[in-house]
Amino acid sequence: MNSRLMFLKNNKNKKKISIILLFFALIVFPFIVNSTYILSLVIEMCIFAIFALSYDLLLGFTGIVSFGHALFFGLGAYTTGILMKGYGWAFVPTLLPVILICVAFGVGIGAVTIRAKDTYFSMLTLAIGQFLWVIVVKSRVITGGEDGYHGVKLLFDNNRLAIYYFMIVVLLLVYIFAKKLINSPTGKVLQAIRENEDRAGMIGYNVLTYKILVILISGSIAGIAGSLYAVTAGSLTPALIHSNTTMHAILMTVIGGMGTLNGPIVGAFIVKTAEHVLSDITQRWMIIFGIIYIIIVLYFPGGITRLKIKSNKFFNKILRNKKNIECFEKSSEEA
Amino acid sequence: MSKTILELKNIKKSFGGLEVLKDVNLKLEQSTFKTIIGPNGAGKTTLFNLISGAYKPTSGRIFFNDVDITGLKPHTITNMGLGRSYQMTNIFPKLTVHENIRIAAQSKGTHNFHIITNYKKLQKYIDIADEIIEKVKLSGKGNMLAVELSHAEQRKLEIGIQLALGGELILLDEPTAGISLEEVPALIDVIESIKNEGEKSILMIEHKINIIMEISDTIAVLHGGVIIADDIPKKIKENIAVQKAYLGGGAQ
Repeated sequence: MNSRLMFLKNNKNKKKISIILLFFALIVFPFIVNSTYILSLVIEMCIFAIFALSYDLLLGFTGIVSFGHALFFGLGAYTTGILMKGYGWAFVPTLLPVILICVAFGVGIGAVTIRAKDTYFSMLTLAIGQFLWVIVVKSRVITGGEDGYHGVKLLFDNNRLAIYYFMIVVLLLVYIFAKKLINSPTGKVLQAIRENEDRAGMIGYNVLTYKILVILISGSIAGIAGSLYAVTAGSLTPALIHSNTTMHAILMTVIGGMGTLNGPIVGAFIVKTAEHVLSDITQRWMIIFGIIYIIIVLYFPGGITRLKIKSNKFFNKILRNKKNIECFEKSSEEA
Repeated sequence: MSKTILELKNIKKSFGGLEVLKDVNLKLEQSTFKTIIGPNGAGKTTLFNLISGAYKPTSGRIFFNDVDITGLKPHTITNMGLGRSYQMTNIFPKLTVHENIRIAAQSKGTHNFHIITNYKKLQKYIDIADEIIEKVKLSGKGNMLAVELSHAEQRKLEIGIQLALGGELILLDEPTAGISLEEVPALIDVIESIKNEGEKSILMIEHKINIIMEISDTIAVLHGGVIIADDIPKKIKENIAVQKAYLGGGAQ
């Protein structure tokens, strides 16, 4: 066979090539579209992709259904916002308190809720998330209440091109971290917990510790996403903490594909694009999304990215069969 | 005489007014294979639950390697080297066969909280898993998802998970339950090969009497909440009390 063709058919090379192409596309993208509006949209997508990615660590890799994940997002956003505007901090140093606060909340919430199982756990997280939302709404002096918290200094003096590249890099770093995590011994334990929590306990893992660990890790990532939101949007509203924001993350993760890491990124891009396109047409765009969500859960529970993987497997099968036949013919000729 | 690995002393267990185990005394020598038989409802599984720590005995003590383990938590007992398989298959369905065993091996190591290291770099656990897959005769199925295995293979996998935990004593609760007759010999092969290695002590509950007679070193008969006989298979066969228990106690 032609060596160049072989090179393309090698799966690893295929992956490499597509990654290089993707990078190239991402780098030249702003020069092709040359529109601040679309760049802002992509920046928002990246932030929500990071948020959804952190949610996937919970939902897709540990099997934890949390309805309060937005509280970490909100905590990150408000912490950065208040520290920057109220105390004159620069952006990057605020990430440290953001992570510390998210870890503290993660441990606290984890310790309180994690003993409850399944639905009870989800309900508790919903309650805690909404509780924090009420606190943010009511403490007008600190957070501005329903009116929102405005005037946070924007990153890079709102140079959208710089922010765009920055977001891509952060998303990439978070992705690499998450990928490393799920392929680490700890990540493997998380997946075992997802598969059979009781059994994981029986073979000697302290399930509670691992669950708290993943909550604080994914919470910190969500917090970072929130911080990024604060310095790109400039104004914060309590809606960020509301369970609706969590629903967005669930939507993105499920549509893209739970437990894939690529899925939530793809999901975030799809949901955000559709949100902007559909909301031009109708205010009730969530209805359309509800329908899509139901269809995906019913017919493609693996999500969109798994569809692609499946079709890839299908083609590989055909290729392999062809190869087998060739090999077979060759050997029979030799015989 | 070899060392005693497990000893039950005057074990009593009652649930409310129901006295399931009245006075159980049992000894298991190291590296031997003992089977517990008894009519349905004799309290065999209750006995296992007591040993593995799922229940606490009403009175009496349990010693594992001369250490009193009465009332300890199940995972503490597991970590001490006493593993247990269940009547119901209990595996990680959507992980591969290899990963099922590897994750069990990993739990014994010190790398559980490494969050950046790639698991593939920890060759130790991968090697253990490879070795055990051979041992439980699942070679070539390492990359299959556990859920895709047949029922008998899943039982083998479960025994594999037990082995990966590296315990000295394995409790097998009806390993052949619910398995088609054709698949039983393959599973027994696995159990027998573990026995023949001579490193593990095995305590098994089973009903298939022909198999038990063949592979057990000793057989204990549990009836009416007490052990009525504990001897080598041949003697058990001849034991009149055992025959009564199985054929009905009316024959005076």
